[in-house]
Amino acid sequence: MKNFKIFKGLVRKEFLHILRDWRSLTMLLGIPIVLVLLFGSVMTMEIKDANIAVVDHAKDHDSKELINLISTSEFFKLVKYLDTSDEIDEEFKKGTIRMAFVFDKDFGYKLHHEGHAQIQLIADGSKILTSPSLISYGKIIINKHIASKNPPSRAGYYIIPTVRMMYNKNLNGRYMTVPGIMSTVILLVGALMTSLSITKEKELGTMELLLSTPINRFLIMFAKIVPYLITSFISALSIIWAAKYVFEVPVSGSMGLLLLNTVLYILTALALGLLISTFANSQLTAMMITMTLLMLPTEVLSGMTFPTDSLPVVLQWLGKLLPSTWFNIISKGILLQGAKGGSLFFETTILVVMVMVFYFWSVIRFKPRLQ
Amino acid sequence: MSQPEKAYSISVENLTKKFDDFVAVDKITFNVKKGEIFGFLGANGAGKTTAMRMLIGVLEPTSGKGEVAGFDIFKNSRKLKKHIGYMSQKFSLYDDLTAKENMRFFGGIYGLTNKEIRNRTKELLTHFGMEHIEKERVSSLPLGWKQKLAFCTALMHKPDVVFLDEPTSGVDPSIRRQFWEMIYETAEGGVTVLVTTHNMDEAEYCHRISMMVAGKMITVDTPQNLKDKYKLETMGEVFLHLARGYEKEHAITAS
Amino acid sequence: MTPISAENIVMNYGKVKALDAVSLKVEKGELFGLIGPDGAGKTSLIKILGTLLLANSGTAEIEGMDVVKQYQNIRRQIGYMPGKFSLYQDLTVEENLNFYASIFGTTLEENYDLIKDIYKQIEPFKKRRAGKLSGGMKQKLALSCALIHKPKVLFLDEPTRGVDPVSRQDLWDMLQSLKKDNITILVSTAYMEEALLCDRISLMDHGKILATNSPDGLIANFEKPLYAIRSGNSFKVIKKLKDYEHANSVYPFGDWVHYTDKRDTIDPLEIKSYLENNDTTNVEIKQIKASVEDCYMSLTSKNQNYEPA
Repeated sequence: MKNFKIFKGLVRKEFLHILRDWRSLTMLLGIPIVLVLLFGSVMTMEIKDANIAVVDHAKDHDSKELINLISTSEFFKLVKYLDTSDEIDEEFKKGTIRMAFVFDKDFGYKLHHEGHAQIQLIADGSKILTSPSLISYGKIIINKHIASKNPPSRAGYYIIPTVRMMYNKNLNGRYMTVPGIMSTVILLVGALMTSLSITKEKELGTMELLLSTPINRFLIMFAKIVPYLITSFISALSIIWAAKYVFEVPVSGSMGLLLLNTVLYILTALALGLLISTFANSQLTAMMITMTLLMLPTEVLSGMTFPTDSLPVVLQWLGKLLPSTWFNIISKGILLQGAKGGSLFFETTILVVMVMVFYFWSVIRFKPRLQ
Repeated sequence: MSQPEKAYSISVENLTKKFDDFVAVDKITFNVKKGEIFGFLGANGAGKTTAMRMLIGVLEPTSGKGEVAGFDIFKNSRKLKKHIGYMSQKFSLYDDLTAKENMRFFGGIYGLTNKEIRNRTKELLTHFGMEHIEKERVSSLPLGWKQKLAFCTALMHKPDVVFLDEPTSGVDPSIRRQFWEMIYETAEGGVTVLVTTHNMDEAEYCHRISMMVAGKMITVDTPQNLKDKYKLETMGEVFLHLARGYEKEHAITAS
Repeated sequence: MTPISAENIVMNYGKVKALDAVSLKVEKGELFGLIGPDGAGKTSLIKILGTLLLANSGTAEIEGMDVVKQYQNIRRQIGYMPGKFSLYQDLTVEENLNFYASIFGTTLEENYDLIKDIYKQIEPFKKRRAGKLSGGMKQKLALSCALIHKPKVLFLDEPTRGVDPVSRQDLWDMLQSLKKDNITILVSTAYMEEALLCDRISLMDHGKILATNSPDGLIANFEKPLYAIRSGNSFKVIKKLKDYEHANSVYPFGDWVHYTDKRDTIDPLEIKSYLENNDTTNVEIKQIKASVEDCYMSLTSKNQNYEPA
C-alpha cells in the first residue's frame, strides 16, 4: 500500500502545521463557540420572559392546564387575559405583548372526542428575528404536553397549533436561532480551514514544490480534509454542547443521529473549501470568496434568520444550493421535532451528493501544473 | 535647511543593535566621506540590512553613536529622512504607473512643488539618457531599467546620501554597468553612496568597502589595499578569504 | 536516452514572449547552466521542463518522456529546487526531509548515502524549524529534499540568487560532487562567472538562447582582441575610451576596463597614448582572454538600449 504510506505522510504533515500554529488552532477551536455564544445570547435574550396574552374561549380543564404550563415556562410571561381575538391587534400596537395564544371554544371537548383540537399561536411578524423562535418555543411546550398525556405505545389525541403572523403573514416559525447559527458557523469555519490551508501553500510556494512530485492530486486534497474534520468536529461538539446546556435547546431526537449528520455536514463544508481554493490563488481571495459566497447567503437564504417562504422563488432555489439549508432542516428536525433518520433521508442524501460533487469537482479543477 | 559642513556624510561609532539577546549589529565603527561610493559587503545574515535600516532612520539602534548627513540617527531620524534617498531591492516602484508618474509620486512624498517635480524629472531623465521611457508603464520595463528608474526616484529630492540595497541583483550585465555609471556620476556630483552587493566585481567599483561577518565589521579599506594586503587577485577571493578566515578563527557554526 | 531535450519551445505571457523557439539538449551526467539576467526566460524554461508549466508550443522530453503526456512519470525521476525557498518553514529539518521521502514512498534512511555529504552539514540542526535556518542551510536542506528520491535529473532555478559568495561557492561545490552520482543537472543563474563551473552553458536573453557551448568553447569564439586597461581612475578611463572614435565596446570589470576596438588589428600603445594625451596617467594596458561576461555582452550589445515597443 504505497499510496497509503504517502497519504499517511501527507496527513502527518497537515497535523504538524495545525499543531505548530497554536494561534490558528485556538482560533479554529475557539472562534466557533464564541460566535455561537455571542449570537445565540443576543438572540435568545430577546426571547426569555416574553410577554404574552391568552384568549381562552374554552375555559375548560385542558385549556387551563396548558395555559398554566405556558405561563410558568421561562420563555413566556402571561400578562393579560383577553376576551376576543380582536383585542390582540391593539395590544401588539401598544407593545404590551409579543405573542398571543388563542384556544378554540370547545378545546377540551374536541380533544377528547374528535382526537384533535386547535390552538392559534399569534405573533408579531414584523419582529423577524425573535417571533419565529417564540412560536417554536410555544409549539415545543404544546408538543411536550401532548406527549406526556399520550401513552407511548400508540398515538392518542393531538393538538394542531396553527400559526398566525400578524403584519407579516408569510413568516413562519419553523426555525430557531441557535441551530441556525450553528450551521452557519460550522459551514464558514470549515470552508475557511481547507481553502486557507491550500491557498497558503500556493502563496508560500510550497505548492509548487509539491506539484513537482508525482503525488496524486486526489491524495493532496483528501489529506487536507482529514485533520480539519477532527478539529471541526471538536468545535462542532462544543457548539452542540452550548446549544444543549447554555441555550437549552431541547434534543428531542437521537444525539447519535445528530452527530452523524454533523460529521457529514462538516465534510460538505471542508469539500466546499477545497473547491473555493481552486478558484483562489491567495488566502485573501479565498477568504473573500468564502465570506461573500457563504456568510450573507447563509443568513438570508438558508432560513436561518428569515423564513425562506417569503423570498422570491429564484432566491429560494439559490438557497437550496447551500448546504446549510439542508443541515438546518436536519438539525432542527432532530433537535426540535425528534425526527428519525428515515424521515431525513432526502436531506441527508442531498448532503452526501454535495460532498461528492464538491470534492470531485475540486479534484478536477485542481490543476497538476502552475497556472 | 542649511547645515554646517561636516567632514563625513556618514559617521558611525560603536553602533549596536540587539534583538532580545541576539546581537545583530555589534559595535560597528566607520566613516564615509562626502561623494564617496562605499560598498557594504557581508554574508547573508551578517547584519548589513539591520545596519542600513538604522542608518536610514527606520530602526532604532540599541547603543552607540551615528550621524548621517549631519543628523543624529537617534534624535533626528525624521529630519534625516528628508536628506537621504533609499532604494530597496524589493519594493521600489509602482508597476501600474508610468516612469514619470512614479517620479511625480515620489517627488510629492518629499514635498517638492509641481514645478520642482517637473524640472527634476526632466533633469534626471535627460541626464541619464532615459527620456524615451518617460511614458512607459513600469510593468513593461526590463528589470535593469526599472532599477535605473528607481535610482532616479531616490534622487528626486536631491539627497545628500543615497542607500542602495542590492540594486543590481539579477540585472543584465551591460545594464548593470550603465547603472554603475549612474552611481559614479551621482557621486561625482557630491552625493554620498552606500551600496550593498553580492557581486564581487561591483565591490571593486567602490571607493572603499566594508565587510561584515556575524554582526561585526571586520574590515574597512579600499579594494586595492585589501587585495595587496592579502596578496589576492580579486575582491571575490578577498571576500572568501575574510569570511572563511573569520569563521574558522571564531569557530562560528552556521547558526 | 537524452536526459533533457527541448525543441522550439514558445511561451507567451500575454503579449510578452518569455521563450521564443528555444531548443536545448543536455547529455547524461552533465552540469548544464542557463545563464542570463532576470527576464531572459530561464525560470519559464525550467518550469516547462520540470512539468510545472505548459508551453504554448514546442516539445520537450525528460529521460525520453514527454513533458505534457507523461508528466506523472517524469515527476518520479526529477528533483526540483525552485528559486524561492519552498519547504515548510513550520516543520523541522528532519520533518521536511521525512515528508518528501514519504511522498516518494521512500525513507531518509534508505537514501541516506546520496544526500549524506550535504545533509551531514545540517544534521546537527535537524530538530530546528526550517524557517529558522540561515540562508546557506536552507539551501542545503532544499537540495537534500530535492535529492531524497534519487532523481535522475535535477533542476535548480537560480539557487545562488541573493546569496553571499561563501554560500554560493558551497552550493557549486555540492553540485560538482553530485556529478559522481551521474545525476544530470540543469541550473540557472544570473552570475556570469558561475558559467565557468558548468560543463556546458546556454546564454539566454529576452527568451532566446544566444549561444550554447562549453565555457572554454564560448570564450574561444570571442571574435575581437580584448584589452584590459586601467589607471588610477576607472571612471575617467571609461569616459575617455567611450569618446574614442575607434572604440567598439567599453565595460568596467572590477578595477579594469575591458575594451574592444572597431578595427581588426590595433596597436595597444596607440590607445595608451590616446589616454595619456587626455590627461590620464599611469595607464596600464594588456591583451586578455575574454570572460563569459565579455561574451555575453558582446552577444547582447544590440539590446543594450531599451526600445519601447
